[in-house]
Amino acid sequence: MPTSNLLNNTRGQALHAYELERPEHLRDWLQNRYKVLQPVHDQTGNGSWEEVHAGDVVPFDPALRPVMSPKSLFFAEREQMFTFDGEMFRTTTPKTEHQVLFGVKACDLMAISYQDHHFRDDPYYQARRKDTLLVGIDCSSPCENGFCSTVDAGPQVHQQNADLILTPMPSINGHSHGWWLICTSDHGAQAINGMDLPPADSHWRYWRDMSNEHALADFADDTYIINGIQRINARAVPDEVWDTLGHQCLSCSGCSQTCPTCSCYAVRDIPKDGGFVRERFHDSCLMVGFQKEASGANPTAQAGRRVARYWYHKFSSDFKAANGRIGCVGCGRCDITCPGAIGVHSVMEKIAHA
Amino acid sequence: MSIKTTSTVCPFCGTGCGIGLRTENGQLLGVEPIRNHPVSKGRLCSKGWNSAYGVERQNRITTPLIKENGAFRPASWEEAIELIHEQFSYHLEEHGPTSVGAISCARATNEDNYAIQKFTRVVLQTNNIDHCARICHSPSVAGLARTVGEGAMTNSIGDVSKADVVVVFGCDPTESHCIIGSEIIQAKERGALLIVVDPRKTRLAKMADVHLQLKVGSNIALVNGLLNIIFANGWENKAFLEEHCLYLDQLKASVEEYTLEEVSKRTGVPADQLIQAARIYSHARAAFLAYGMGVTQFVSGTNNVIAISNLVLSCGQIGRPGTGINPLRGQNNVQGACDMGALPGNYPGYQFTNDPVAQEKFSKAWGYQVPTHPGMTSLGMNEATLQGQFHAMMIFGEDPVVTDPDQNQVAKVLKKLDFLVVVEMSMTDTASFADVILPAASFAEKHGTFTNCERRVQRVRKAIEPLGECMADWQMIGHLARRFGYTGFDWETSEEVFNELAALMPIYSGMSYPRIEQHGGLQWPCNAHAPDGTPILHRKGFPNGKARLIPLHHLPPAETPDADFPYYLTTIRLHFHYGCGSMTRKSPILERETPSGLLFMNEQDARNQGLFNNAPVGVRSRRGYLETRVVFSEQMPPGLVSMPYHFDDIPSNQLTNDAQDPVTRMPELKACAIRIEPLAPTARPRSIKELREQGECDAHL
Amino acid sequence: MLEMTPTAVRLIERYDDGEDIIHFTFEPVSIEAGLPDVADPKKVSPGQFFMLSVPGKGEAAFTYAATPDERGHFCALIREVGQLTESLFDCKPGDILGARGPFGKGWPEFGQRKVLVIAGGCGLAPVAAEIDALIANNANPVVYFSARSEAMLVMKNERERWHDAITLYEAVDNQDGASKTYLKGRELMTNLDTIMAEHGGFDEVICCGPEGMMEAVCHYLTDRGFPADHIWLSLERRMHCGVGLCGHCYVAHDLVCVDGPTYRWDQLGELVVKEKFVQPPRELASMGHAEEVSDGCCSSEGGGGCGCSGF
Repeated sequence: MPTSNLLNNTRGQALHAYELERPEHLRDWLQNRYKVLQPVHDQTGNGSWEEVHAGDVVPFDPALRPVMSPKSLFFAEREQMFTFDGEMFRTTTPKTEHQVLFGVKACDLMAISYQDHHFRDDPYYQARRKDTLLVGIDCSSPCENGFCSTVDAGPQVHQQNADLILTPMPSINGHSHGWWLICTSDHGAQAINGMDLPPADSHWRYWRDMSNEHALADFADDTYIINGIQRINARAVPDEVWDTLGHQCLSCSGCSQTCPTCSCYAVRDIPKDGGFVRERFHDSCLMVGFQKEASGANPTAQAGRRVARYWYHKFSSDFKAANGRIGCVGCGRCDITCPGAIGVHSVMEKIAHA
Repeated sequence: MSIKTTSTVCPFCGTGCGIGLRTENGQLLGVEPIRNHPVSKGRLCSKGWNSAYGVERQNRITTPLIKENGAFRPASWEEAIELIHEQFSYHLEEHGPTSVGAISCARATNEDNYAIQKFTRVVLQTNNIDHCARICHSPSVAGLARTVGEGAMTNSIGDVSKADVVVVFGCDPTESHCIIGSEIIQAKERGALLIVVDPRKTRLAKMADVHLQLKVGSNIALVNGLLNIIFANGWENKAFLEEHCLYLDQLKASVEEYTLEEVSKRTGVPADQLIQAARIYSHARAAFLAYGMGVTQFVSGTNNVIAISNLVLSCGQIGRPGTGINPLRGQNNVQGACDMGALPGNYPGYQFTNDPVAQEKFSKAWGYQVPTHPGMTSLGMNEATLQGQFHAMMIFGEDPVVTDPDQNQVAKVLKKLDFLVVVEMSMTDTASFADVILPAASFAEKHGTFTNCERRVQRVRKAIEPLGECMADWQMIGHLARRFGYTGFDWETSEEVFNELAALMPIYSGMSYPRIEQHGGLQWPCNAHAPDGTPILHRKGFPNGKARLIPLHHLPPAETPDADFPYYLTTIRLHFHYGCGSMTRKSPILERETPSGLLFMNEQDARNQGLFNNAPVGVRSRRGYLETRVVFSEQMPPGLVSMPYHFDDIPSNQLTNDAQDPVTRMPELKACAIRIEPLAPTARPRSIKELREQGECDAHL
Repeated sequence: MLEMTPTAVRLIERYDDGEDIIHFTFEPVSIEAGLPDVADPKKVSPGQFFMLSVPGKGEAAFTYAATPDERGHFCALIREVGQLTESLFDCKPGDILGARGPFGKGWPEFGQRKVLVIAGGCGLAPVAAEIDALIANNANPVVYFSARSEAMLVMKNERERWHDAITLYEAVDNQDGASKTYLKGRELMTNLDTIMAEHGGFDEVICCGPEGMMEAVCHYLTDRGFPADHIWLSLERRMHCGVGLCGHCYVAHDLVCVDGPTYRWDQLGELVVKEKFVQPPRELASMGHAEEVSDGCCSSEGGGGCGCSGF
């Protein structure tokens, strides 16, 4: 289990909430003690998790969710594991500093929690993770392709997944009246200690729940996703359907790359100074070589099997026992990036009726 | 330090997808797809996702190298440039400017290509400049120039989504141009009809409404047959033909002999499928036709393109949204390299080198008299070398030893050259023949522009500093030109190069870096008449006034299977790899995807030869021999086998024929005759290196 | 936290032990701080595996063909199938490599129960240490071992030792040029009939070989009423971590590196049914070794027939 103090915080105790005029005030406060990363509108238009320095005049856009999830901040897309100098192997530990991820959405927070569990004993992940404070932000409407409500990941941040949560006060006549800041962990409490925020009046819970209900009502009909999940769990999807879907898989790896809960990796050795360094990098089970052995034998040579595997891993309750929940957090990223038109929505539509 | 993302363009195929390069402390971490990109819209293929690996420090050449006693040693830029100056000056003086030349690069930026061709024409005083478009789409440029006037995609990639019929002719975009393939899959999903013309049962063929699985090399017979059906039924677009096309009567007369029975026999396609395809295409509200190297890489390549053009024009499927005749170009910037005039017969912007007005224009602009003698193509330069008339060459970023036909011949040429300069990122087979290697900056290390296959000029941006002493081609050209004592090459930034070339090219004259950025890329022609670019060509008519229908006839491939060499071999590309593989093969994931065998074969054919899946085999043509393993493929019809051409250790171009299209001298890569020689079941196929050492790779019959 | 960095080990002995197969022995480079886990006889049990790094070439899983002795010497039986093993075959005694482990579940504790061991090809490696353990326990196991040809009958030294101690049946598919008469490898069912008739009454069966062969054996046994929960198998999969993180070795919701590589047939069967993702339907091979892909169990870079991977 995690050794970090941050992760061992006692959760679920009485929540404290405060009033906050603007999220930037909290961010600026945290910058005194932490490196702060937030979603920033960047050159690509994708949005990216970038460091915002004290004194930078960067607005915080509550609606911005970067195309890439914050996954690689902990499960690095390329991680040096150790070096070998010809005689000795030496572990490389990533250099980290106290940091804050500011403004993480419910789906990505649920994914971080899922990964925290998967990588609970992974020294590299934990080195990056343990010094990180998570500031979540509630969503008040569905995003494009998102279905977090269907898979119990959002739109409201689950309190055990963040240290601090920002939730907007109800807007009246289109005017925002500010934010509530909910403190959900000791680490969160420490971080705002001294900030001297006015406590929220007791209505905040009611309004937060109300806002959540409003958001839930705006989600599109998700019957086909629920049906699809049931059919995967009942193993009721015919092989031919998977084969047809597999036929459209171009093995780009985009779904795995953008999925906030995908965690597969491979390793390689890079020659260096008479020895080598071993690096691990993100991998994807949709690639035909993923299970291919040196002899050429391959248990999952057929694309249909690999596509079936991917969605089984995301939606089967067989994994609940080990992971506490299903693998999908409903962010919808795979649907945008899939060139084969077999992202989550298309797949679920097809298998729900297959 | 935190992660920074730089917006740029994928360096692989001609689709031109938007990628964000993620860097931390000057190191490339990976890539992300650009959500709002006009072409890729947040998608990438496996090559795109792995593009950061291709430019890593490992195996990169980071200083100039000079060959001494058969081995390379690092050298300074001054020393390398001095040697190049000395050698080229010698050959220019001794043998004249026809004895030297350059091969430019379809992977490099427009700015690089412009600089290279300018250097060749101004400093080397020759039109001997070419690049690999010769071996992919020169027939498109030549064929479409004759019929519709412009040798490029007439429409945009986004037009696929506006079509109700999509025709895919001789290519598999889901493998070679994945995001275009994606558009086609999505079109199919929303109900568009899909017609695939391919001897192989490709991924799209399996999804198609009609798959015309024609015999290799029977493209013209097929198209003429379709035209005959269309004319016989009166399905042609009469109004369009009347208004926009010449020589309809001649075309009609020429296709009359292509009767249904005859065409069905020659192509192997059942008659009802021919009629169905003709009906669907001619009746479409908007039909998008895409074609690839299965059309161009034949001795009849130019004619194949013209035949397809005849079909498109006869049905009027051009000049409107969702239509067009659309060659899918191979490299990221093969369109740009052509646009920039890295061709013997063209100055930048398709202005002809034999046109005195253009000669005058460029002489004046560049401040030096341009050469007037005709230039040679790459194969022309090769032949001249073997005849002792060509002596010194510069090759920028291409690997003809792996990618060109008849590899043994290419190797002979490179050996025979008196002086060879290769500009490369890593040690390729071609580079190993060089006297001097200059270290090239990768796409991630420089600014510039690429032009994708839909004529969209897009910004390439520097994400990391060039490794070691690498630099962009236009920068090294500047150094070289100065050493030769020439002015006009003193650009400080890639933007200066771009401004110079845009001013000389009517099709680019409305472009600048700020305008390109503002518009998310601009499609040429972009000028005073079309300030925001031209997503669809020929909306109002054709550059030559009217489009031309050109009657032509079926010509079989130069080499057909016989008793000795009973199979047709066709070369293909794999989704996971690109070109000579010098970038894609550095990705551990893509390398792992490589099948353990590389000869794709119909299972029944293989069984008939007593071969099992993964069995080791020798593959022999009249020109070469190599060894590999068989992979059963349901894509392959009986009698046809295929090999990818990306691999330097099992190079399929050992075997291919360099018979050429008479118009463009395009070699016939898509068809040659081979035989398969089973090896002992436990044998391990020998690499080309081992075969060469054992003297077994030349053909000996 | 998991240790993902190998310990330096030295190659101390190698000898040819079958066609393209070498028998390697390793020892830890340093034992100043005690034996490292990978070479500690108290930590390693038969059926487990370790990850072997060939410097600069990568890492793959190999079964312990012999578990560590008190000096920390341990063995692997490795077949050349890819780049990594190719480099390994170039290693000389004295060369330094990396190893970490032990990983996975070994064979269960059989005590003195009567065990039939069935192995095909390099599938002998993962059961070899167990055979020795059973012999040491005076459990008197019966061993049936089959290979494609005489040259592929691996672990010659071990087999000579076993011949003196227990009943060992040997079979080959191809008898051509064999130095003696073996059972006919392709007649697996007949041979098993013989063994059952001669010995009978086994408490447990351990089987390791190509997946098609293991499947055939399991069906043979269960068809004759042998309880599925007394049949034990070892699987191999491509692996990169050995500790349940990298995801490569999945079978349904299991990861072979931590949940296997040894499986009880009823449990494995459940996974197979659950997922249908395990294997495309295969012809049930006889003991014969499929020509097309090399015989499953030695096929991997691991070559040990346990959860051995490769690239």
